[in-house]
Amino acid sequence: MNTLKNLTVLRRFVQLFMFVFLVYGSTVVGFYAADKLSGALPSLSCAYDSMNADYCALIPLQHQFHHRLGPAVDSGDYLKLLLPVGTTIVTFLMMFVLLNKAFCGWVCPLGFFQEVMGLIGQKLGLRQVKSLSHGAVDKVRPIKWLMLGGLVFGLPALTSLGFLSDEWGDPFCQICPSRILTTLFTGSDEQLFVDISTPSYMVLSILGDFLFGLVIAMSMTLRQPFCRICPLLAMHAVFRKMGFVRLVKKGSSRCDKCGLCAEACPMDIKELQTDHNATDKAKDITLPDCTLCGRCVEFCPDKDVLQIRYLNIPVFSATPQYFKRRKKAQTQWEKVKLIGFDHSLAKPVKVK
Amino acid sequence: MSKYLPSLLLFVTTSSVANIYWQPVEQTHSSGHGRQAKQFQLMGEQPEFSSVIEFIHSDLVSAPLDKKNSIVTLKPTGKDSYHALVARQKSDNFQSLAVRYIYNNGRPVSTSPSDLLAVELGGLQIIPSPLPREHWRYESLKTYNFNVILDGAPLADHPLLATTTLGSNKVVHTDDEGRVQLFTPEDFPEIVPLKRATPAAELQMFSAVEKDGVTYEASLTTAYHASETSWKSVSLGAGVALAGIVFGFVINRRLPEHSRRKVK
Repeated sequence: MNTLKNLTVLRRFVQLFMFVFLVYGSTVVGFYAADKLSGALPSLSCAYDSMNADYCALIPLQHQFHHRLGPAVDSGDYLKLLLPVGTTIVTFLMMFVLLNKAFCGWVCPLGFFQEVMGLIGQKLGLRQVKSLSHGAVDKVRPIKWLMLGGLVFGLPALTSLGFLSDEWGDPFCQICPSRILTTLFTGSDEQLFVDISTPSYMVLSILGDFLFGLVIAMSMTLRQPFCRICPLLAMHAVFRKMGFVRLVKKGSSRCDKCGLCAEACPMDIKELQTDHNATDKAKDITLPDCTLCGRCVEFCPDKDVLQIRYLNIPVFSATPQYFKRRKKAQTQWEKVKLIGFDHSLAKPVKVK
Repeated sequence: MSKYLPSLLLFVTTSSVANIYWQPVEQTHSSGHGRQAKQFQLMGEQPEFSSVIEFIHSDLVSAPLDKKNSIVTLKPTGKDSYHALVARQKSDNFQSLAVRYIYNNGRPVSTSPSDLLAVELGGLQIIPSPLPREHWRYESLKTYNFNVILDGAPLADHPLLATTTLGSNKVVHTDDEGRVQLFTPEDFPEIVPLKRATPAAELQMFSAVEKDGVTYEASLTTAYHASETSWKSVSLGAGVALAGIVFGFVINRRLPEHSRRKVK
């Protein structure tokens, strides 16, 4: 079997296609908001990108809370808020149920960009941090909920109610790395700016630019650094039980000592190894941080312990044969380096 | 070019004085989200011709409008997206068209602004290509494209006069396919560094042509705003992003290695 025939390679092609489509797809779907696929895409595709095919659900949600909550409270007519928010959520769900959290692992332009930067880092011979420690993962996990609750709903709501100035109406968009990334890919540097008009705008724009740079650098060493704190990942987590695509596990006692799945996981989900190890029936293990990339299934050496199912029909299952081939392909791939940086310059801290 | 000399002369001699065009009436207050009634005044009307006014909604439903002292009042349609305010003056040998595209907030409609722009209004038309979309607006120091058509066909190598209410003037010409690019001037006398702080000015585009003994005139007007480059620095932004990259590499060096998952 050709070592390039594996799920990850297939996923990369899908990601590349989706990146091109979402960043440049206005020529296909049309230019205006009315022409977009949904206007509530479950991936970080940005409306500031003048050539995009669709834009993410977080944009209308922030706008709706910013512009509708205050008037709704003033008038007592909460339908002013609930109708547009409901429309956005329903539109989001109509797409989301089809692919579930695979919108992160297979569709998101920023997710793909981080994976490409990771590949570049690896090929340049930069030190690769395979996984974060359990403690670090536990500390990082709540951030995505704070981002969703604070930046997408909280601050726009407070702005609408008059507690904050207008600058805080769409704070997530103002710090989102995808805004800068996708507009740069269309040849426009307009979104990479420091706004000196007010202190709030200045803080937000500096945060956004700095975060963008941070994501570029960190994704060359650490897998998916921004995905771990992405508010859309948190929103996916809320609705993940409604998705047709699921990751399921029927573990055994061997899982306790193995952990290859957790090691393969770019999001460092340790529960992949520890949960559902003594069960007769496959159980849903599409956890809040999962992006349904399928790497855990690829690197599981035991037959059918991990599966990706669509409407409960297995579409990709772990097998020993596939595992051996995949492991070999990964080893060969990691040997290929364009430049070997001197690792002694880096000072990794060993964790006990 | 010679065939357009008469129209060029006509154009230069008539300029904006003869063309009809729309101009917003100063509002004393605003509710902020485009739901208030808007008023526009039809300027340059020739008294010997009557004016016909039409308001094309974003879903392409057309409604006639009456004016009072050359002023029309547009009430919210409840429909989202761009609408077109159209005025016509017409006789046997004269056709004048004034168009202004106006954004309304409301319920979504199934039609696109592309459909609105494709509505054939007859005679000479200046059509934005495209209209600003979400998070965009007409601004100084940017290039915008327009198409000029006469009875549906592109009008090649034809002059347009672009003026602003702040005093700038520029003549631009269409290319072989009737397209024209306009780089908007930065002519705001005083720019307050905040998105909506500097009052918008008006960008007006005029054109005229004579064909088969009929004189056609067209105008397109829109608000334009001070360039955000006055308070947004791309070079500073790039510098901050670079600092983020450097900081990221510093963090990378300190990230602990943790190569195999372990059971707690």
